[in-house]
Amino acid sequence: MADVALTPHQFQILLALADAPRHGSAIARAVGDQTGGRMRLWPVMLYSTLDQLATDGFIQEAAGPPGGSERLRYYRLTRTGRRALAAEADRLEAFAAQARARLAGGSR
Amino acid sequence: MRLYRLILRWLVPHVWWAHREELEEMAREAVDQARARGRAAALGTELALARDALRVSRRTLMEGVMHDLRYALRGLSASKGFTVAAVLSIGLAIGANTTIFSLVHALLINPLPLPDAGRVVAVFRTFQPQASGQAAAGLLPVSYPNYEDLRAQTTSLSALAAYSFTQVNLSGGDEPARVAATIAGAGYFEAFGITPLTGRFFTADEAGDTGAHRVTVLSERLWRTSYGADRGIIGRTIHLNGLAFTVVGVAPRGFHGALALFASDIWVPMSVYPDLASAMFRQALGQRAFRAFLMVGRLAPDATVASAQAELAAAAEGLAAAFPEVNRGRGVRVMPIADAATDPNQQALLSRGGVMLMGAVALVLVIACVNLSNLLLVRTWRRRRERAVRLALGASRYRLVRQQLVESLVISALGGAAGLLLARWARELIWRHRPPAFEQAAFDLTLNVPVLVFTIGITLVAGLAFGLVPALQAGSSDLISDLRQRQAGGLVRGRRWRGFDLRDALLALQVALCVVAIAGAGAFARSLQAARAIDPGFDHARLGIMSFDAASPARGEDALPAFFERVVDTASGVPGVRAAALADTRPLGAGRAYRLFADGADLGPMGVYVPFNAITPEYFDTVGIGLIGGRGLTRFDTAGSRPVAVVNDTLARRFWPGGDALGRRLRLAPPLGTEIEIVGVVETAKYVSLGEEPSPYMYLPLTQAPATAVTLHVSTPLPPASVIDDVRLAVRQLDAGLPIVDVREVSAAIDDTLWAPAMIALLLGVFGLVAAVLAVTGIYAMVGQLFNQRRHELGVRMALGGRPVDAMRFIARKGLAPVVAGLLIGTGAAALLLPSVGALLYGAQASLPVATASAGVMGVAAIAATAVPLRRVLRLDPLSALSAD
Repeated sequence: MADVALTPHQFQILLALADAPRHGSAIARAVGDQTGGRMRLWPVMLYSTLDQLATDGFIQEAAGPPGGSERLRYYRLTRTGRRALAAEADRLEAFAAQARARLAGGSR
Repeated sequence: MRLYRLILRWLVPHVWWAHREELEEMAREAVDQARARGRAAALGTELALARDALRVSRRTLMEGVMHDLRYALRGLSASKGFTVAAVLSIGLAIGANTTIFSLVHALLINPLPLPDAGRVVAVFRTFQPQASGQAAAGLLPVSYPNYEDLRAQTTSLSALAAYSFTQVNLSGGDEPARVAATIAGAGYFEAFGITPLTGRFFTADEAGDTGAHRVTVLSERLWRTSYGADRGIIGRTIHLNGLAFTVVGVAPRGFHGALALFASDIWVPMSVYPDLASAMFRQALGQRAFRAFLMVGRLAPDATVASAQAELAAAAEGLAAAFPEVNRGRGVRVMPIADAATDPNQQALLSRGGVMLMGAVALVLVIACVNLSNLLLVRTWRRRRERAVRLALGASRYRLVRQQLVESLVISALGGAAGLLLARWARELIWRHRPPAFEQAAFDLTLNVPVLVFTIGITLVAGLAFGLVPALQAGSSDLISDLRQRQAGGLVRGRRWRGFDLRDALLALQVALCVVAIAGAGAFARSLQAARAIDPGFDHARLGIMSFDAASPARGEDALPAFFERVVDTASGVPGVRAAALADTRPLGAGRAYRLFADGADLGPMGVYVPFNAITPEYFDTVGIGLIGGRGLTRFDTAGSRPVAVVNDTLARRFWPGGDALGRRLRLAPPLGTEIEIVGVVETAKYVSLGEEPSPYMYLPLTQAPATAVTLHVSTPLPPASVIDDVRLAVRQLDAGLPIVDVREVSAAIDDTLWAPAMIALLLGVFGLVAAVLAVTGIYAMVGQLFNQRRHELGVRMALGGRPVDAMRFIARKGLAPVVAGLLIGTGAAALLLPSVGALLYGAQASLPVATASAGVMGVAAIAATAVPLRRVLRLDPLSALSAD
């Protein structure tokens, strides 16, 4: 499978699903928390990205937690999605390291 | 919230339908939270929600369109034949429109490229006729003293300059050349607001009218073509009419003076006017009655055309009061320079011609769009199964419509690009064959922004126009019948499939438009024929002409008559030449006129303008104008002998109805005041255009009305082309420094005056033909289609005992019905439209016969197109038709 870069929105959503399945607005809340409020997912952007991720096979609908609401749709990370998330994290890490190295070298 | 729902449904339907409730809930939550912080926060959130939807929809649209684009390109390259035909036909039409528009733009809309052209004005004198028989009111030049007074009295113009134009002999190169020159008074370059490309313009001292400063400014074109754009030209000496001039500057590129049709390449100051003007005009600077100058001005910062007009009109009244003899009844007219760039007296006619041409090519574009629409409808019909599958798999109809529209726009865009290339080539071609009236013009015909914008505009409009119907067609597919790729209810009669109703209508429209185009071409062709049949009153078939200017310091004015005699004798002596003569006016060319009074004739207090031709005695014999009474001119009519004239019989009858003109006297208006005796009367000819009414005209001896720029006419029983070059060489031998120009046959010169109707007829004819071919192929395809569609039904009929003839009649009736409708509509439309173009036609054209004839032509073609598919009916095998899909 080719490594296609994820958009920031996609990355954050996958990240939000990394530990547990969530439903729509919970994902949005989680993204807000994990980015320190820097990224706010508005409804249309959220759901259209979710649809795209589902089409790409990174996430899929899942059963909600027992006792949870029937009408809420839950999503969970697939194995493919997990791999993609990890790959993207590696990429970002490499970029960040390179950036730090260059900046440190330049200030010398 | 309802609005939010609407926005989402419209902008991002796919997301909406999948997550309706969640979206609403999330949005409501956000707004409620924001409302807790205040109304402003709530509003901000609502806006953010809307922006969110917009952003996603934009991205989705972009992706969707990119996908449609790729899909369209794939589809088009899969059916290369169709694509080539489509792109070619729309490309031809767009190319034609672009060509005509760029010509119209350069000639009429923006003929003078000037910075801030809105501040530059042309100023004319006007003349109110005070009695019948006088020359019609028009825009006239000004005399120098009047100009000086006007300039002194105006504050609404920051610059007002007088100028004249002439042709000069430029020598120094291998061949002497004739160059158009403007003699520019003080303030000329300031009025235009331009800066020199290199060097400078005239100083205030040089630009005045005294001192004979022999300095000159070159045009960028002359500098480039004759002097290799060498910056060292500044300070160098060139020779104009044999006099030495110093080059001081080069005008900016594209600047050729105020007259678009008379592109100047040389500018000299007013002080050298006496040096370069012909003998008659030499005194003009001091004569108040001598109207020889045009004016150009620049509006002061706070003035408008209207305010300048008012101020100058008042000044003109003052002049009329102060100098009633020469200024009575004369006013002033101020207009934007662009309106005067071509002959202002002809502007209306030129505009009408331009509008007509644009209308003609617009018609062609409509025809092409209709045809393309038809072609696309067939294409969408063929691909209906594919679309049905896509629909079944969940595509939306909107998507299908959009995809079809994108395909149409791609075809249109390709056609637009092809059209631009075609236009470039066509423009060159048309310009190379322009009539002599435009010979001196220097229009910028390169692709510029307005033309590009125009092309892009019509490309878009055309694409939408021909793509709309097929797109709607694509979206309205009937799922079940399309999947089966068979007409639903094949046995049910009368079920008309929506697409084909539309096709019938389009076909009818196409046929109608073809009829109109062909009728137009026919009308113009007939009018051309009629024009060619007009007798110009002189022997045009066996006449050749060439022109030159004999002015030269080496040859004084007194030597001119002898020189001219030598030229005529030399020309007559060339083998093949029957007779030769000189005149200062070419056939159907512009010449001089005198204001005069006549003994015993009431011409009003201001007299009348009578145009004249200054000729050598051999003229009437050479050009074949018959003498009615009295005598012609002879070599004894010299500068020193009694002034005489020969008039045409129209003048004789108008001035002295019922009487005899011979022996009567004409008196030229002041300041000339000369008395002229009429010694002969000749037949009336055409003097300005073939379509003109008989008008008064007179002929004066060249010795008594001297000119240096003359035209040599030679008459020969042989085809003139074979002889005129020999004549030219013979005359050159008399004076090697003499540039001889415009060597041609008179019949060709006359044909050139018919340039406009000829061009229109050609365009209409070519495109009418193309459109007819397209329409005929459309008919052929449609009838064939009809046959295929109904094969099943026809099979049934024949199996049940129907005769092939009946089937043929059925198909023919269905197929030809739209054609007949189109023929009728087209005939009616043509009959209504043709009279409105009457102004450009010579002689009245009965429109109904022309329209009917054109319809007949189309009808025959249509029947022929129908005939071939009909033959297939005869060979129809009922069994195979019954089992056909």
